[in-house]
Amino acid sequence: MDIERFEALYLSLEKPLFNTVYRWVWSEQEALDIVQDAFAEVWAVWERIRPDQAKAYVYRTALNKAANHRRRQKLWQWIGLDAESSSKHNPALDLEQKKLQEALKKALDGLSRDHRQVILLARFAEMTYVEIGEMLAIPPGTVASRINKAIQHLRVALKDWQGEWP
Amino acid sequence: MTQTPYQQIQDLLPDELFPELDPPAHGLAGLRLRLHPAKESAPFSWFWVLAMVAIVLVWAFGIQFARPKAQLTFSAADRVVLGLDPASNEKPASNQGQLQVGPNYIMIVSLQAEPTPTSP
Repeated sequence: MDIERFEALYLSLEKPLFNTVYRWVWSEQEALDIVQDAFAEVWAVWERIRPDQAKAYVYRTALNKAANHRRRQKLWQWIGLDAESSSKHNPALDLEQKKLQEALKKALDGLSRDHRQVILLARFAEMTYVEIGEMLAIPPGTVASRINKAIQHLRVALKDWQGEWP
Repeated sequence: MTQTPYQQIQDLLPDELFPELDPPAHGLAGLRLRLHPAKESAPFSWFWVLAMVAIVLVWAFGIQFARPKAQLTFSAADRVVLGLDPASNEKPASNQGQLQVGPNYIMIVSLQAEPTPTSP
C-alpha cells in the first residue's frame, strides 16, 4: 500500500528532519508544522516521484519552508510584532554553558542559507557529502567546501569562547 | 567523499549543547489528519446538520399544535365596526368584515350562518 510506504518514510525521517528544522526555526511547534507541511506536499505528488527520490524531496521541501519561515520571522521581529524565539535549554547546563549555547545559536543564525543547510544536514541528519550533494543538487566537493567555510565562520563568530569551545 | 562530516561538526556543536530532541508524540496522527481532513470530519458535520433540521421541525410542529385556538367574542362595539346595528339582529350585507385588532392590525372576519336545527 502506498500510504503504508509513505507513513514508514515519515516515521524514519521524522526525528532527524525535526531536529534539523528545529535548529533553523528554534520552535518545536513550528518545526513540527514545517515537517508535516513538507510531508503533506510530498503526498500530493507521491505518485509522480520515484521512491529513491522521496527522501531528498522531503528534505528539500522542509528546508525551503524553514528558510521561508525564518525570513518571515526576521521581518516580523524587525517591525516588532514577534518576539524572538528561544531555544530549549538543557536544565543540566550551568550558566556559562547556557551562554555558550546562545552564542552558538546566534552564530548558526548568522550563517548564510547555503552554509547553514550543509551544516545542519551534516550534523543533525548525519548525511554524507554525497547525500547532501544529491539533496541540494550540488557536487560533493562543493558540499565539503561549504562545510569548511561554515566551520570557519562559526570559529570566527565564537573566538571569544576559545578554550571552552573546541 | 563517502565519509561523513558529522564527527567534525559534532565537535563544534556538541551533544551537551545541542541534544537530539524527540518530536512531539502526536506527529503521525497530526499528519494523517492533514492528509484526510474531509474523511475525518464529514460524519460529524452531517450529523449536526441533520440534528439541526430535526430540532427545527420538532419546534415548528410543537408551535403549531401547542398554540391555543383563538376564541373571538364579539361585543356590541364590534358590531359597530362591522357595520351592523348593535341593537338589532340584522344580518350583514356581506359575509365578510374587518375588525380592528389593536392599533396596527386588521382582522378579516368571515361570518357564517348558524346551522338551523333540524326537526327530529
